[in-house]
Amino acid sequence: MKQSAKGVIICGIGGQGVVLVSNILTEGLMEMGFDVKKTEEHGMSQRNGAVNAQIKFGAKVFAPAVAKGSGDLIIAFEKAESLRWLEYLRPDGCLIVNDVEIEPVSVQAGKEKYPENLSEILRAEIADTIIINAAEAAFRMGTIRAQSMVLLGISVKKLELGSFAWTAKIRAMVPEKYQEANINAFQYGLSLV
Amino acid sequence: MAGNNKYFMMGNAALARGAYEAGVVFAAAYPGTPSTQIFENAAKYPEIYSEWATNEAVAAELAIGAQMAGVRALCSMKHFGFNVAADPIFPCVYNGVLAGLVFVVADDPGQATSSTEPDARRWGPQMRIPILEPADSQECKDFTKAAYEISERFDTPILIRLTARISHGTGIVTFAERQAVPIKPYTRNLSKNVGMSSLGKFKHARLEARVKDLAQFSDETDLNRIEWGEREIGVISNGISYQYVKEIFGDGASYLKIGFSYPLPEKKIREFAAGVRKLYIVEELDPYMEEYVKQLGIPCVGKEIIPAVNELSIDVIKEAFGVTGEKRRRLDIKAPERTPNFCAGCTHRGVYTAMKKHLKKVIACGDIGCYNLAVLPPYSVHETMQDMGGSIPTAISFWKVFQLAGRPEKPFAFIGDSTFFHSGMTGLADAVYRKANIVVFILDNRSTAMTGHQDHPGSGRMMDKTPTEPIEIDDIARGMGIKEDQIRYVDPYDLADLDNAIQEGIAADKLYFIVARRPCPLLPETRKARAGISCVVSADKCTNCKACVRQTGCPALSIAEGKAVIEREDCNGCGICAQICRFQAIETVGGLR
Ligand SMILES: Cc1ncc(C[n+]2csc(CCOP(=O)(O)OP(=O)(O)O)c2C)c(N)n1
Repeated sequence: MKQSAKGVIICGIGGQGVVLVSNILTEGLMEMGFDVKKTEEHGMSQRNGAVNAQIKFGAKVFAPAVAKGSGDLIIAFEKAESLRWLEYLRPDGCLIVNDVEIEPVSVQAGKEKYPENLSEILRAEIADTIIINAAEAAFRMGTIRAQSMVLLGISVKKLELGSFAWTAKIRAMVPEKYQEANINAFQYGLSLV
Repeated sequence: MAGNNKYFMMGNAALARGAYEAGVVFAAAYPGTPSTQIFENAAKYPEIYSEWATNEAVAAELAIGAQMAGVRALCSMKHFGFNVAADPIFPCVYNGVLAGLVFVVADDPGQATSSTEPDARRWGPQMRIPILEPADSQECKDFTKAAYEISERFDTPILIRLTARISHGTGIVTFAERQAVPIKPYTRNLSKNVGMSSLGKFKHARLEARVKDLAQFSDETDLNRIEWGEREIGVISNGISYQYVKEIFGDGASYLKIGFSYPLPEKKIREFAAGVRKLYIVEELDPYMEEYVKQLGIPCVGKEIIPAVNELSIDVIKEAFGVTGEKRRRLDIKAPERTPNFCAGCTHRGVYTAMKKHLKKVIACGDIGCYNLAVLPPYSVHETMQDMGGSIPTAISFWKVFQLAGRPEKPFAFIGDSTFFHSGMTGLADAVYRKANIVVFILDNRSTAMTGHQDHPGSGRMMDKTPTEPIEIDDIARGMGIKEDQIRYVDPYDLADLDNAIQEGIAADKLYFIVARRPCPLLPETRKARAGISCVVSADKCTNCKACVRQTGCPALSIAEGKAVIEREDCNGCGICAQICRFQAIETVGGLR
């Protein structure tokens, strides 16, 4: 049986806002009337580990996790992290990549290499790839912490969920002093697609 | 919230909501991933009295005592914790309950945060404790409410078994009002509240009779339900595995969804098996249901195709059934490993940086906590780790056996503050009593950092963050007879002093007790106190030797364009890298260290 629910994977590094974006997205989806489920892996994210959230939404959702080859969208907050999840994407799925490279200790210590020319490789592999330096854009809006909202903006557009009042949801879920920057970053993201 | 009382909630939070709606008044727990947020969410309801317990056995005893005294109680823990709590829970199952009592155990298939992968359902037949297994957030809430009804109706404590995917999975939950449950009047009742061998035989017979009643209930309750679809394939499944098979086969198969898994429903299983062509059992970890079905003489396929190791997934189950997966992309390049490491400013980093120089003279026995990362590079200090509190007894045994073997290495036991309260005190008493010549190294960061900074008897804060008198670990040591000249305080941000303390420990001819005390850098108070303090690199002095990056593995440090750079937002100025740098290229700025 074909699965009817849509699948989204958000991946990145602890502290980048993966969990916040997944929370905003799922709350919004629920309010739009979808059945929604999510599963998260934090691992030891405080210790700079990889973090991910998998989201499924539709008329009825059973498992929260996305099966390989069935994801509609991957949002990678860190470039190389996208590699861990590529095989979960549908052949015609969309990949959104934050053009940010964060080297783990293994690379810093010279034990491993960070993959080279990754943007070109990803673009060649997946037709619908969007690579954007969200961190830089967010920095211009007032805080690098709003980078996640740029990525959320692009995602909402790509998933055709633009009709929902996302800015109100963002306002409700981020601390007051960052609200304006976050909303501006979100709107910037929307405008990119 | 989305109107109609609907909320998007993690399984753990939904379970706590269920306890709240069921009128629970008393909750007790010790943290442990993936169970921790059950208690943290229960504690948010002012109607529920909740303080962290010192360990899981104490938590269980508190919850048992609370229902004895007349109120519904909740006690949650991870699978390791249930081993610790088993001693008080066993007699409680014999005794029964006055008010409803629910234990929750969270398993970790896939071992994301555990060193073992046990299946808690085995406790059912072992203890004769009934077990419920929710399969999503809504069921976490509903099953918890059902659990209190079953507990009181059958006069038994009950166990809710979760797995990490259910605990940390999120879904839509509909709320209801809190039930008003009056406090039951306590009266002296020895047959219920006292364990004694003279009463034991009667209680055991009563227990076996209760299991029969529960087995009948298991056949009657909707918690175990048959969903007929096409009958070529029939699947018996539970928890998250049920969601996976539903997604794969949809209406193309029939299902027996098990939500009440001890005792299992014999009649329903027979009915279901008779109604399908081929019977499969899809369950994570042990062949718990499968063994039961096979023992009934019913042919079925289970672990012949479904792995017993690691968590299941849609892909694993598809492969087991030979269902072809979707087309997928694969690239040959891999993401670099992100092995966990101490945070920037971690109070453990200095201790293990200093220890590295002395490894030849030491056998380092570790314990559980963030400091277990000292097993890994760039430190590679700890050589053993068993269970919470294991460090001190292990060091005692190494002391004795190395004496016999004529080996000179000095046993060191490294133990964190929360772990010391949990189960280190008893080991320390043993060390004193046996006159063991070991070094006990207390890593006191004033918190249970590993599981998300829970408070404990030494942290000085209660659940609502109001202050309470902290119990100091060195006072406990003194109380056990450890003398002033055996106690050494050291600042974990001071490498030279750490080095001295370690050498003194190696040379000591009796138990040496080192206390490294500094609050975890991630605690809000520490963040505030150290805001603005950080280390900076003088680019002109940096020779790009990379010693700082390699020896500390600090996430705030990196090399860019041939120079060390420090991310000031992440750095809290602990100064370990500055003390390592031979070229004085790093200094701490923005405050006093
Ligand atoms: C019996 C048991 N209960 C709970 C846990 C989960 N757990 C792992 S480490 C830890 C606490 C560590 O705290 P502490 O000793 O203070 O070290 P820190 O992480 O603060 O360095 C807990 C609760 C466990 N592993 N075993």
